[in-house]
Amino acid sequence: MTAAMTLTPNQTETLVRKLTALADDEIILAHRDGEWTGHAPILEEDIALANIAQDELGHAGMYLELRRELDGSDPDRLAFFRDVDGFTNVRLVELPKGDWAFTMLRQYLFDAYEALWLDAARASTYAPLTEVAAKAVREEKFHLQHTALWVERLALGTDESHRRTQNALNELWPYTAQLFQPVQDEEGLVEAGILPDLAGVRGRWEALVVPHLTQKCGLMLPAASAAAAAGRDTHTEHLAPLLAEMQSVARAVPNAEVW
Amino acid sequence: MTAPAHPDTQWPRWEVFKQDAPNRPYQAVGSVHAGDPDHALLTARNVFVRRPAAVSLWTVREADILTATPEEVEANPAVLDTPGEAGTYHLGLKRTHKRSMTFVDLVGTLEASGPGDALRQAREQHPDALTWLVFPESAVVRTDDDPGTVESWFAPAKDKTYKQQQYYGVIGRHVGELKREGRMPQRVNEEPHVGDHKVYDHPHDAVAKKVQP
Amino acid sequence: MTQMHPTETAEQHAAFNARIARGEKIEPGDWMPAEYRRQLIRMISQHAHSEVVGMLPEGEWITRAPTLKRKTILIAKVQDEAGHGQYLYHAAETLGATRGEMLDALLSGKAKYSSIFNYPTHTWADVGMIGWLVDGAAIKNQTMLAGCSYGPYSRAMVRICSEETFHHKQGKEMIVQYAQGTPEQRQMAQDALNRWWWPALMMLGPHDADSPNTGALAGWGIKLKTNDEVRQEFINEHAPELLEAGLTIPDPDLHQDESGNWIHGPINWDEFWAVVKGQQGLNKERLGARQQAHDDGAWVREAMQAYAARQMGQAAD
Repeated sequence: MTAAMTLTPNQTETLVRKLTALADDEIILAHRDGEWTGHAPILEEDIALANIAQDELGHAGMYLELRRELDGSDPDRLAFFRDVDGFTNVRLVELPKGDWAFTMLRQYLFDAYEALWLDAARASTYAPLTEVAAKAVREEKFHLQHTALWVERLALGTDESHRRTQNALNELWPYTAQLFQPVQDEEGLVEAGILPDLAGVRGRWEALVVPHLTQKCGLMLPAASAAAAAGRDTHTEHLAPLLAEMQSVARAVPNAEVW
Repeated sequence: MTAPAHPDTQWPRWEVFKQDAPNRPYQAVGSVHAGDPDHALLTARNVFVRRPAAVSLWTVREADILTATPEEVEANPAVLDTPGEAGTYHLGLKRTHKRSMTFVDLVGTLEASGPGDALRQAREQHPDALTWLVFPESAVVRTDDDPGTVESWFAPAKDKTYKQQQYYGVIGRHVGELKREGRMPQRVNEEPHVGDHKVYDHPHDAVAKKVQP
Repeated sequence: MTQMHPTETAEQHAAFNARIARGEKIEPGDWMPAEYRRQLIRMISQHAHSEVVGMLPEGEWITRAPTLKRKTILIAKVQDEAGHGQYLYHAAETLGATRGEMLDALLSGKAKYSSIFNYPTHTWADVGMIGWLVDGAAIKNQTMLAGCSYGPYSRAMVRICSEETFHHKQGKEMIVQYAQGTPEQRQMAQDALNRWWWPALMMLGPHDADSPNTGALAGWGIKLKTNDEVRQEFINEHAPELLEAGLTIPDPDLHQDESGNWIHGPINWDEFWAVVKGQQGLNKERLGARQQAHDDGAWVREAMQAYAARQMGQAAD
């Protein structure tokens, strides 16, 4: 266990930015997963996807607690009172839930990234992050088994399921590049050993997902596009309505002390 | 195997055997519907490990399990000749008429020439059992017992304390507490209120007036 | 006198009734009267359907839960409802019903589910009130059923009760907090009570005099208490607690009698039957949502089956 370390003001600011980005990804993805609860293809999968959604929300909570330690901000205030411009999730997670192939494939791509990022973050020199990573990575490994299994079965199942899975990949693949785009000044924290190097995570991610998608599942990788060029402050048209719904109850009683 | 006339849209059923702690017997806790062996095991985890009470899971396709009660064997002795593969068979027993949280406990294995033979041996070894249940080792799908699997399949449920009623502690007043303190409200709705404030006109005012003589 | 199938003998029935009288649990494979099996399948599948349809009214609020914690709790709760449906379908499957048949019966409108889930949810506080009252009422019923004579049903109920206690408590926590919260929150809590109090009383079923199945079910140890007994237990616990929380119960006739029981005013059974028959409430919408999920999921279930069939084919080669 590393002794408590002192962060410079710039490091603190960058870490706050990164933790918020990590949490935003989880909040928005969990929201999309939560839309399935009660509407999945079979009862057992209602249960499975609800498990994933709870885990992702739990991770968001842990990241925002780390942020609270740094700047005193309230996690729920952040989640329910920031506007679209303030959210810093990747565009991958805000796309509408689509069909089961789209949901499972997106979750697979994200789980693989998150599992590998967390695995690397276990070596962080920032002890609070190390602890969170060790906890969260256990759940991500389980998600990854579940979603990898589903992607394989949908890709190899029927002509229809193959077509739907390939369509989902065509749509999702260009959005994945953004997962590996650092936030402003992130490289400083990487040098200090506080955060994992995203290029390294990306290498491991590609080595994991590309053979699974192409060799095992028989899917075709679309050509990567320049979709990653814009940063985390740029969103699709889908985030604003999502937030309007998600924040509607909290904002109706803005002075509530407790919910 | 021929396809059933009316294919079930719900996939095959797999019996789930759960072990709650090391050295405890595996117990038949229910079943899941799943497509194939790997999927069945993942599904069993999602369904039966929402809360912490497992260290290991097995799933076995329903079609691979043979069960019989003494009455059933008497009525249909041919069940003891049920053909199938030779090898190691797991044996489960029901031993009580009382309420139990399992249908059977798994008690061990035996070598048999087929499911019927396994049942025959089970009956000889455990004549007092109320139900015998057998399935071949080859039909079992089980979780790995390496630390990584235990950590990612079974440990996380322990942290999900919000699913435990204890997480909520004592909320408001419980009726028992009100009684003990002699503070049980005796009359209701003299004046519609929330806390100390009248915030709502009584919803049944109209009805109340009607029923009054 | 219980109904006897033509192939059944009086001796079989006497032996079976003696087992029930001794408090023995009936398990799959044990001899049982056909009527016992039929009544159980009817009751258990209806109960399973209620859990599954019951995901919908609260599920609508997952996307709007006002804190991360509440959202997580609500997903866990609705997940449990799916899990309870799953346990219960299993219990009915041990009696020979298939889940496919049971779902067909639900979607075609042949099978019933608890009419409480046909009421709309208007505000976030309804989520809390459903937990406190609807799950509170359900627990009273389920605790009784946990003692029932059929082993798999009883086991499912024991699991479900212990999980439902979380549902009940999280709902109570919400409402008690809102009743002491901002004026908007208090109003929300009171409105929710106004809308859910009577449906919660009604969900425990018609008065004993109007409950045709109770006699046979009691004789077989399936139903150990009458509807009115369970309803009385529910009111005795919840009425004082709601009042203590500072809320007003929408029943001007509600009072405590000399024996300590809380006595409710007349129940509007016309409304109850209208909702049961789908003339009132969201019956069409609820079944429509289930049908849609079933239809949209068809290609997914087929894909899984095709994959499994191929895998088995390869294993057989």
